Amino acid sequence: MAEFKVTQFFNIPHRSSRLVSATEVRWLPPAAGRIKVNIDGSSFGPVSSGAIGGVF
Amino acid sequence: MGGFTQNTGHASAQEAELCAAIFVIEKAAELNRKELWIESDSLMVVRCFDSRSVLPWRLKTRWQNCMVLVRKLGGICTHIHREGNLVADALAQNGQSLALSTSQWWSEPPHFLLSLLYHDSLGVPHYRTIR
Repeated sequence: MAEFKVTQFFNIPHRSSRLVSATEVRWLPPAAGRIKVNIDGSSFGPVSSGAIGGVF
Repeated sequence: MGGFTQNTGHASAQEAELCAAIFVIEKAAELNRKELWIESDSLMVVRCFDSRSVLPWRLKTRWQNCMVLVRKLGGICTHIHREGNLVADALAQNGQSLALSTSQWWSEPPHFLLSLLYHDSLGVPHYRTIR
């Protein structure tokens, strides 16, 4: 990924046949007074148990 | 502020994602926290918020009650790619090691989250690559 950024910075067209595109994903903090919670669930095991997680 | 994990028992990936949202909404209502912003990496959850997705029947009633609460609290729900939701993802993975139907709350971030939280608080982007 570092290499990709460098080639992007110098406007070198990259010729990797594997990497089609890369986008930036950023976590954004909430505005003052608002509470943000990021959540995720996962399923695991032979009888597919669920587990959840979240961060306030 | 804090983090939580829970082992929800038998659930598909879809149901687990919805359970997470339900847990959060019920907790927020209990604590009367208004203006809640929920962010999930599941588009299905976001769609369920404006009834654009079919719900698993087991969760239907609880979900509909939650929607009433959300409207009262002024909550919103948005989508983030999973690359940006690593903290919640790590917590959900951690929840797999809990005993059935138990949950855990952290008011201080546990050590396995510190680097991820630091990364996000600096506003450093994660990369989503499509090959």
